[in-house]
Amino acid sequence: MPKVAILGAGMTKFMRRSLETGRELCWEAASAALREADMTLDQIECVVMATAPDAFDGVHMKGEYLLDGAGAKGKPYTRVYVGGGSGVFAVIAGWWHVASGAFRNCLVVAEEKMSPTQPHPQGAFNAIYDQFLERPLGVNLLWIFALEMHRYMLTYGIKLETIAGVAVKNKRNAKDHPASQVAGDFTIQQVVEAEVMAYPVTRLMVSPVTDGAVAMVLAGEEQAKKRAGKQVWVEGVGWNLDTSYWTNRDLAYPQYVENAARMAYKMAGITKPREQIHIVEPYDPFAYKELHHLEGLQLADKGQAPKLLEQGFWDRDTTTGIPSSPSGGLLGVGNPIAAAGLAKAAEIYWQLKGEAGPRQIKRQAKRGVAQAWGDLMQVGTVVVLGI
Amino acid sequence: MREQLTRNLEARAVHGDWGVWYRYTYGPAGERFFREIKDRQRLVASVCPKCGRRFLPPSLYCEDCFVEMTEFQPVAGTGTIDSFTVLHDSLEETRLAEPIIVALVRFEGVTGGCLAPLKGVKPDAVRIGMKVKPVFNTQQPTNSIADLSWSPA
Amino acid sequence: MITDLRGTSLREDDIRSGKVLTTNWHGKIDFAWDAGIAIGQFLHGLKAGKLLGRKCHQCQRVMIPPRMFCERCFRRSDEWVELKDTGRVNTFSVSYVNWDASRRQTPQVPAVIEIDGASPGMGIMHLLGEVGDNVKEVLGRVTVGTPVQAVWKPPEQRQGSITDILYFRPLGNPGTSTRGR
Repeated sequence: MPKVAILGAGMTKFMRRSLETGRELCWEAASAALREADMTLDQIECVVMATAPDAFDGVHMKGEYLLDGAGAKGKPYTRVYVGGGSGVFAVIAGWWHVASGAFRNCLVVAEEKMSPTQPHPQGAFNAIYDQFLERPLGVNLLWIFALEMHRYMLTYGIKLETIAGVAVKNKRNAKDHPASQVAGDFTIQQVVEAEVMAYPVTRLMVSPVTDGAVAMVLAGEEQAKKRAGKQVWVEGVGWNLDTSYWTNRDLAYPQYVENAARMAYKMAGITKPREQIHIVEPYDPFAYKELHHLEGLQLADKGQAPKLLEQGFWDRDTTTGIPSSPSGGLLGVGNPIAAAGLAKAAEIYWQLKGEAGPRQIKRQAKRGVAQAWGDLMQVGTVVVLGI
Repeated sequence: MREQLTRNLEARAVHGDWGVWYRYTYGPAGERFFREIKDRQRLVASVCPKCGRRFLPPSLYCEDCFVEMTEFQPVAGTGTIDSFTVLHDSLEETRLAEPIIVALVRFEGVTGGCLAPLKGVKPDAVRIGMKVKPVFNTQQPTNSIADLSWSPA
Repeated sequence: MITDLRGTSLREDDIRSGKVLTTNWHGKIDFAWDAGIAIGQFLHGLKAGKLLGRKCHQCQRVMIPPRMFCERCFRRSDEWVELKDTGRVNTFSVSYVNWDASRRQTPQVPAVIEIDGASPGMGIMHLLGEVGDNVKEVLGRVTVGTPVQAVWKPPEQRQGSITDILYFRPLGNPGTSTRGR
């Protein structure tokens, strides 16, 4: 399999509402990534864009609208879209472009500008529900997550206080992330007693509405080998989607994440994930979801991720466990839907290179996993990076 | 899948709407563009420090050089109609009382151009290459592109 | 290394006060969705006070929501099955937010309910009723597996919509069947 490396990454601040248009956010992230990769736009051969619902920015054909800011004018350009899973899917699609041999490099950009939606972006999500059987009930986006979270809790006897620990961990980790929007020190009690949105989800267990963009430069072996020092390589990619009949699914376990992980691990030659993966950025739009995903990623047995959380196994400065969301994740840094996944992949890249600054994990890491999720709670996208 | 509906009343369409609306910010360059229209009644273009081109409407970055543009210059004088069309129907497909002429106008030495209604001239008198000048709505401004129109120079 | 972080953060007040200019768009986007064959029939069934499922003879699943093709066997499904209007709670929530994120005084209780007569795991989303007015009360009355029954609108008020069922209530609750035909 041809080798694909990451030469650089960049991002904007994650903000509740940005002055910048979506295009400008793309340009800010893309030019930062090019700078870190020490490349200019005319050296880039193709561009992949990940951006989630057109309904958020309020611009139809959003991929096309954004392309000038993503440096794609006059270039082969592809948009990928699997809801929140898009940010990691962008790395996968970028990998296709280079590993196929069709291109020597690829600029990957992910963007979301949710703030234009009025009265609230949650309202745009309304259309994710079935228009015949679900919308007439007066649904809110949060219902799906609350229903899934509650099933997870009741199936394994997990307490709200335990799950709240994810929000505490990630918001604290995010204090060291310069782009963060909602970092801070919170107690378990504050998280549990925050305003109930849709039980069991409280306000501090949900990621915020965010505008932001992230970008990354991928390149083939020929270009990467000319660089000094060790490079970070894309070792495995996997993606999988489950049925849209979400009420027919087992909500206690993300089978689609397991399927995607197995695909990526097979490619990366990982047979013992808990030993061979040293750092992980699972998608955490809700506190419970990080735990759900860690189990789908085969890093904990079903229903066991919460126990490990209480033991400090997922803490950033653990030396015996696997640091999870050292960046601060969506709960701490922010959630511009498509860009959040790419921010997680970028974090693994920076961590493996030893360039995560105050967020650098203590244990040695040679291999890490970034995972994203989205659509009607149905997609798992996984990348394995190694140095 | 070949079940047929033999009774019309069984065919069902369920109605609904989109629900949300949008409030867009203009971005740093767009903000400057509309401020200049609002406060100084003039069009401005942004200048690329690398290729020297002037862009209308102004942008934060040059799309080819991919560098930031921080310099703005007024676009003075008359523009030229690059193309135009005459609208007879509304968005709801009803007939307009008066047809609307929409013109894409370019300025010499400036890359790009602006689309806006052309007023003060009959449709059959409009020609590509015609000279026009910008007119700004200062009475009850909307702070949007709707505040711009063209009239024959 | 994260450097060159750009982005101009705005507060709601910056926009309200006119410090920053904005433009609004209220696009008129309306839809008339064809219900299709399966859902069309399902809605018709609701009007008659019935929950309909669809069976695939190959995998033997009885599916709700009904579909004209089995997505697993990837072939046409084979017959309509009338299901019961009772079921068991798979999961539930207590929601204080409306569709547009505005706050509710009294909560709604959305739930996934596995319908009796359909294959295991075949659930639909609906609301629970008569289960209390706050989180504590609801948690005291409902859990995974709680048997529930549909409460229907009177026949003359039904329209062939999922709201022809007002809500599902715990089977232990007093009250007579409202199905009526």
